[in-house]
Amino acid sequence: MSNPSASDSFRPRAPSTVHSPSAAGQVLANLLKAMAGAGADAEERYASALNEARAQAADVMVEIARADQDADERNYGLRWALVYAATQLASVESLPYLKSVVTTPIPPETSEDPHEFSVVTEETILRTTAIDGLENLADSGQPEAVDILFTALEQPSLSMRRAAVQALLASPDGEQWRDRITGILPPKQHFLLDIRRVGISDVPHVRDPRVHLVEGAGEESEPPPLLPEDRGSPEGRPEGDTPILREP
Amino acid sequence: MATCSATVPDKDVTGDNLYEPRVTQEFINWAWPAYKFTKEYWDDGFGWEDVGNADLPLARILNSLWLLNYSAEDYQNEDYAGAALNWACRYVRDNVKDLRARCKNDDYIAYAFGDRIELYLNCFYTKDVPGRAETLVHESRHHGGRSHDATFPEGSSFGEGKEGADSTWEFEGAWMYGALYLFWFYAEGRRTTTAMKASARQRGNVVIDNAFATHPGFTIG
Repeated sequence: MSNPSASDSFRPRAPSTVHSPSAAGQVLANLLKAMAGAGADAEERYASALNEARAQAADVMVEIARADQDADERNYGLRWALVYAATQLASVESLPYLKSVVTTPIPPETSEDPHEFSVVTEETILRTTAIDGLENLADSGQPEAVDILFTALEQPSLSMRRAAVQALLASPDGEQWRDRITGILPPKQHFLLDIRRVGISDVPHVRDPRVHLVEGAGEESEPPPLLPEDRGSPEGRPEGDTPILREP
Repeated sequence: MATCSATVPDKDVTGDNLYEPRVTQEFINWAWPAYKFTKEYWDDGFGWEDVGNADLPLARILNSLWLLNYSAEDYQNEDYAGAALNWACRYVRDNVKDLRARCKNDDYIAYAFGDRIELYLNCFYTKDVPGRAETLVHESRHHGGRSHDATFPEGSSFGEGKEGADSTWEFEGAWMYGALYLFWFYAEGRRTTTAMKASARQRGNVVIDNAFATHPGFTIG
């Protein structure tokens, strides 16, 4: 008699993709694909797709807004890519959409344990990404972008306020707005004016990761195999219950 | 035993179409024992039967393991005295004793307890490839002996006053490990895209703002 299985079983549902039949919809689809591209010419393909999108920014923004509207609200990967694409257009045409992202209230938390999955956190990431895009537009002299950043300061999200403070202070006239920012933020959050943007070399590192290992760790730990481009022929063979790739 | 399903998000935007072709049989041969997979917890539709299919959990976590292992320029240097981008893959490998996929169709992403780390549907289907790597680093830090020690701060997106925060950056807890990895990936990651790195930066900065009882005082910029 076999033991009952302790494991679960899984069936995927159909993949979701962005698809619009319009010309601008195709340009957007190309841009999203190029954003995820690999290979020696990936940067070139991305630059080309971005240039094409910028050339028809108004129409592409309509498609971005539509795709965002149609997306499952928990499809955060797609929704983030759409916000990011809007920021990359670096166009005034993106202002209404970015404003809408920033000013749409963050929906209430649905998770009982937000330390695990948090709707509010995922929604916050969408909005701080939009604020970064607004920063670039403010930096290029768009007064409406500055106005939206001040609006972002009034949102209840700590991260949105932090991102907006940093964006405003980083703009050409940033220091002149310090008092106005101080007046908008509640006193307990004036520390946001002192949050520094740093490079990776200024981030405090782990003092010694080896003191935080489980007992007996690392005794058989070998680094990964060399990448194919770094070595001639593959090494090793599947052992035990290692799964096997199908031939393409 | 539970049965579950999930809708597969667009694999371009999650990075799965970028990483999946790089996961070779040679990498699988190495990663399968190194990260303590066992067939029992990765078959029955989770991907053991179709390991090259990035619609399925196994291929999706292998994508993240590939990212974790090959995003440093000098990826074979895993010295713990160096950058987290180099040693995080080793840290996970050293701490994980039993890596399992489970359904758990609710708000959980992953859980470290006993000798094992369990990964749930939210890990595979709401996170992009770097985000899943961060989850592995975060959970491995729990296995390495640090539970959370504080409540989330005022205004936190994780729920003000709830348990699960780290007190400070210097506490060197799971949030710090995860954010540090994301920052390194953003700053120095190789064999990836600008968009993936930008996503990692945004996530890391939101963790910095919301997951520490005392704000560390910086963001990555």
